Amino acid sequence: MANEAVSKEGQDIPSVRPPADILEKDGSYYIVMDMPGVQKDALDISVEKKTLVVQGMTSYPKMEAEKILDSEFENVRYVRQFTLSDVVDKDRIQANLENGVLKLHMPKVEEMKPKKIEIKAE
Amino acid sequence: MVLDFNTLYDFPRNLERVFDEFWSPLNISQRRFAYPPLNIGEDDDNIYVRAALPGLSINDVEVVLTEGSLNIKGERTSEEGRYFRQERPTGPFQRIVNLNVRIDRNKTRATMKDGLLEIVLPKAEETKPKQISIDVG
Repeated sequence: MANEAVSKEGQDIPSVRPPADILEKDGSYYIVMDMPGVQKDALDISVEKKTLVVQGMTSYPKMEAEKILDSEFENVRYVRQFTLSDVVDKDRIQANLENGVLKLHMPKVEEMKPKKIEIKAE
Repeated sequence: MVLDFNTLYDFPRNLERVFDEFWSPLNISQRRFAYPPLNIGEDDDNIYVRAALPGLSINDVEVVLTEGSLNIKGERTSEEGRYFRQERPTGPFQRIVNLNVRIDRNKTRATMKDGLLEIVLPKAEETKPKQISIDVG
């Protein structure tokens, strides 16, 4: 199998774009991503200027003693980036990883919330 | 439009994916359309079935072992909200794995971690290869 030669070194781990949902709820934005097999310390989230980059390595255990009968997924490196709009408060982004799903909570900037302007007439 | 996530136009990558899938050996069987994706392995003692099921806990998945098959069932739900983009799959799923060896039904176990479901099915004693010593008299 060609696969074996690659996985031996562990360097040529394929990069995968994880599927993402983007939604708005209760005045905040959320990005939800499927990243099965990723543990907390193998996850890297960074914001630089307007770009949010999410990276994660899976750590499926290697079963060398086993005979493989069917292989439909393997260790991958998840990579995905998003461009944030100015509406998102970049300092208050929160991340939560649970059961292989990453959920990013992105509150809106306070000033961006609609404000009523009072008009004074003299 | 309030948000600009800049990823709507993704044609080159999609084209690349079509080529990748065309060359993939999985293409021969229809397996790549099946959900959830499975890894199946075996050694002398056990059969291991692993499924990638992000977002589900062990209580959300129904695993049924019948004579000759293993059935993995569940449903993926999405949360309420106004969606700008929805790529994660939702809905009910089921996958059946045919087993051609007898399983010791009392010793099966299933665990779930980081969205990975692992089911260990011990082979029944009578199916294991046995060494028979022959005395030459």
